[in-house]
Amino acid sequence: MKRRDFIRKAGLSALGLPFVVKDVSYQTVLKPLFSIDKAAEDKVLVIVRLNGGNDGLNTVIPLDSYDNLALQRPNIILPKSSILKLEDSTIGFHGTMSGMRNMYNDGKLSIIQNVGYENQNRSHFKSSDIWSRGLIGNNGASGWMGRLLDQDYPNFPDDYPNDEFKDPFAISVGSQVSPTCQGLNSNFSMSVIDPSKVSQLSTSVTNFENSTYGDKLKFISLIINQSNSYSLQIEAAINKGNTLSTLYDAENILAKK
Amino acid sequence: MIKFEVKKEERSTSNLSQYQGAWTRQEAAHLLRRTLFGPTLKQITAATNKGLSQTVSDLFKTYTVDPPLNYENLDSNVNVGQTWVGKPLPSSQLSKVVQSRYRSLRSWLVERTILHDSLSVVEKMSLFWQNHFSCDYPSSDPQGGYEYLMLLRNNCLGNFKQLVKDLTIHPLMLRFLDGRSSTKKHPNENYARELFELYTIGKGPQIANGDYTHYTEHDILEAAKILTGWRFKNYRANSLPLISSYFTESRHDNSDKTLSEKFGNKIIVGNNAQEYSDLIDVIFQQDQVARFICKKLYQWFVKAEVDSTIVEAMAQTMIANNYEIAPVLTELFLSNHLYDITNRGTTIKNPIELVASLYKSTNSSLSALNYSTEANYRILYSLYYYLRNSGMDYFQPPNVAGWTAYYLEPSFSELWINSSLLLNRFKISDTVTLYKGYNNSPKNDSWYKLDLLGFLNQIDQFSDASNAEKLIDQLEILFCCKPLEINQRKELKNTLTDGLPDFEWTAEFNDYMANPNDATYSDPVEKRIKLVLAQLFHMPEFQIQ
Repeated sequence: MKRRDFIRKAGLSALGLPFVVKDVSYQTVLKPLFSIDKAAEDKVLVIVRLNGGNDGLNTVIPLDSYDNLALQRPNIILPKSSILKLEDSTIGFHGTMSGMRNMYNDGKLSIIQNVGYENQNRSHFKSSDIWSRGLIGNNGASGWMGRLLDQDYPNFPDDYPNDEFKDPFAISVGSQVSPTCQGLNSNFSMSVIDPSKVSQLSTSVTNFENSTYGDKLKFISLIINQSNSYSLQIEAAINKGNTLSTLYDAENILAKK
Repeated sequence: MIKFEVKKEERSTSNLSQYQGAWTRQEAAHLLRRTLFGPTLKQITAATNKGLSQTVSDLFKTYTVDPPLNYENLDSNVNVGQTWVGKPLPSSQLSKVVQSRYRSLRSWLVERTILHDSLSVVEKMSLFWQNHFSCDYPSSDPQGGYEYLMLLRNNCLGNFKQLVKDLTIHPLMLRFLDGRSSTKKHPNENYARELFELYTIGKGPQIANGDYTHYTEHDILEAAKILTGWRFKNYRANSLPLISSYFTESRHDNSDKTLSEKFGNKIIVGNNAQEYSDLIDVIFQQDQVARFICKKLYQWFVKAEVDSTIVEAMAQTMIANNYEIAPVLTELFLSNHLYDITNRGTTIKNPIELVASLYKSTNSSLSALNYSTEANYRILYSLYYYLRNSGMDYFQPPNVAGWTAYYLEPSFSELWINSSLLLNRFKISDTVTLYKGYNNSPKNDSWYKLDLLGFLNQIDQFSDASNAEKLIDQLEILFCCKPLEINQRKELKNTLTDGLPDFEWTAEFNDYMANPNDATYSDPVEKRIKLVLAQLFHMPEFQIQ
């Protein structure tokens, strides 16, 4: 997919404008979200979703409200001197985020801050639901990426993979398919625990008991490992890649991925 | 939480004596997985509370089913929503209407197994006999097909000998194995051969030319003569009366026939229309008949690799009860052998069992959707197609011996899975969880997927669904034959809680329970359980029963 197509379609219908919410102020840090170089067309879009909770106000810190924050949360407020201030901005990063600060200053990082919805009910699941759908309200269960892919590939998954589209549209690293890639009819993502062992399930047993039951489990696990229609494509892709960074030792699982 | 331990295979010392061990939900679920299609939490809980004896007794209760309905606008003799059973075919477009009635019959079969939630072994046993007396129906007479299936269903727990007698002269069998064209002048051996080889005594090793241990080629020749003269009439009738069998004395060879030494050189005296019955009585005097059918029953309910001591004991029970089926099954269902830990999770689910454990075990009845007859049947028909593509044409076993997974050594139930069939299995579980659901008609907006909120509500009736660990416990009992490993449970719970502490799920679930009709609360909860089930349905454990 071409990047411009993506943005155009996103603007037109698939995504809508999910973050324009009445009475909820938000502040987009000034670097435009999509000001990526045109040469990036047809590259892979990587979405890293950090599961769980995070203290947003101590990660991306609104320095213009620092005094108020210090008043409200005196126990956990970060000393002003430890905060990394961003260029041309009233925002600061947590002191450990120097790498991201540099990326920001180089124009390689954008932030959407203060995202939320009206009269929020404090449900974590609701929030992550809205986030993955890119929609407020209860109209439909599809994710924003899934809706986008639906427009171009309405016959997925029946006619895929095929000669033109040998690769999966999305790979979700982890044990579950990505709600972001949920289309109207199907989910476009394929969950992969370890890209070098495509069909391995995180839920696989580690020891097969010595019994008929164990034999059957072993048999099915073997077939699962053989049967993924995308497995060869993914394995070929993963084998092309090299880890260029020297920051991580060879045994670091994340670095290997 | 259920403690995980690796159970080492022990040499089985179990037998047919009544099981005296602990009767927990694990044992109850094991029994119901083997005897029902897709047991529900409600059924497992009830069986646990009732105890083993009462549950087994309940399993033999029968119930009636409504006949199949017409759902297509093709049949000028029957309105949509009415049954075509007992009605002649219309004169115009006859072959199209035959196909339409067969589609209805297929949908109806799927409905019987997947949607009825009666606690009864009737459907499992009906399918057993469909496999045993595998017959080719689709191009045949719909009324005959219906009667054939109902004959198997109505007698599935009755007398084996009588069932063989009834099927021997059933119009569909006379058509399938050429009895109708078997005459005194040209006796046809097809049915006679299968009567010995597949339906009653079974083919043993060939120990001499034409000698199959339990019967010989000579017996087939003599039996073919005995069975001559039976025909059927009013095939695909477009007025009453409908299809039926009859006997034509002039086509029958009424000479005396002598069977081989395998049957004590028994002479079957010429007895016209009763002769087939005399022959079957003689065959059933051989204890091998009981051994043959009990081995198949053992494989159906316990595992493919038979324990011959147990099969012999089952056969003795069958002989003592003059080939009544229910006493044999009662003894087996009560036996400590069935509950032996080595006999749990020994079989890969066949496609029907797989679909039933998706829809039925999650309590997702089609009828609750209040669709029209047409929409219901179209959905059921699309499920039939799924079953067919998964290797189980639920109306047409691949050959006269039935489905290969029930007889082809040594793979047996592993034949239900290969790299392409496995993807098919994943596809249906994805279809009902992650996808839109089933629907056979593009113009029809009736979709059939899992009723996930209803399922959560049911779990909450029997446990505390707001407790993430307890919720996983219920899924484990319902869908897995043995306890999962710690890491497997952790992964499932991680999906349920979205990686957060358990109390997040508790709070969200309680919010939903307090506002059950508010999608703001129900949507997120539904999405979590959907992802958990989609993940669970891809686990090897789910494919086994």
